[in-house]
Amino acid sequence: MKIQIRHLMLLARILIGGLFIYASAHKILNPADFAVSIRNYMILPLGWTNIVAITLPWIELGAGILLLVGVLTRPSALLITSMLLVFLLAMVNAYWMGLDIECGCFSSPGQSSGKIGPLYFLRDVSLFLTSAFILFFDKGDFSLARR
Amino acid sequence: MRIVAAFDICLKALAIFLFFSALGLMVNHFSPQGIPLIYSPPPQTEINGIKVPLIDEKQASRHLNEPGYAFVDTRHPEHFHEAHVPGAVFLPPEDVQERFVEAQPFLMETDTLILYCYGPDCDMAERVAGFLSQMGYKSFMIMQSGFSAWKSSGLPVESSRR
Repeated sequence: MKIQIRHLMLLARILIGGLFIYASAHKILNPADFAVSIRNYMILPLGWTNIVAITLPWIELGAGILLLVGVLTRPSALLITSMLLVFLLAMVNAYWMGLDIECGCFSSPGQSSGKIGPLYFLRDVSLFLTSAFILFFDKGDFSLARR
Repeated sequence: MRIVAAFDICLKALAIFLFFSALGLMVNHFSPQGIPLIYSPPPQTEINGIKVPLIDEKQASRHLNEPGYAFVDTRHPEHFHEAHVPGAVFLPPEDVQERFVEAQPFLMETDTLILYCYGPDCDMAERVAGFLSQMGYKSFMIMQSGFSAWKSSGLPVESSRR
């Protein structure tokens, strides 16, 4: 069987969708821990951090599921691409400020998801490009609903 | 035509954003793990120039068994032996210098020490924190609601001696 762009698209959707569902799970179960992770970045005003910690993981979960099953694929990819861009900017900012913090991407502060560094930027950029690929080139193959 | 399609994608993305944000807010409202919508920094006190957050039993319980955190029970011996936070180190203010020799191996200087006494009206935790700050410890939290709130919240307790 010849590998076509639609097969790569399916692979990209499984990768990004699955990763976002996985990333959201711990944050949904531990919103207080995720709020601490957000505060560690020192970007948002402190008062806003809880509401972001409450809503963001659900947006990750929702967009991840929709991407995986192929319903509203491109709007979901738009959301995920935007989130990945924001995460990247936040990590670069933290690194530039010299903050010695955990990324908080998949777990809580204190648990080992590793300190922010260039490898994290590389990972985020790869995911960003994969998500952008879905956003711009998805044709609705292997989907529950067409676009 | 392309602009219309792009606008349509943005609109749908916004709908997903709003729907799942609302779902998150709703779940948070009913969840026992729920947090306040607006974060307000915990009140704090200052002991020997060190800022010490005053936390409640729910916030303290998040650090139970977490590496880098140690609980310190500053109540009277009979109450400590009856029940205390699991793993808590016993260090009452009365004979703090003598007891510190026993407690020291369990308290790393790099740890954040979470001290507690009975409730908001006792100052034993503050007094012990003052002593520990002179011994070189730099990071403290005081569980202001005390052990009574910890116990009545149904959080785990143990009665073993240390």
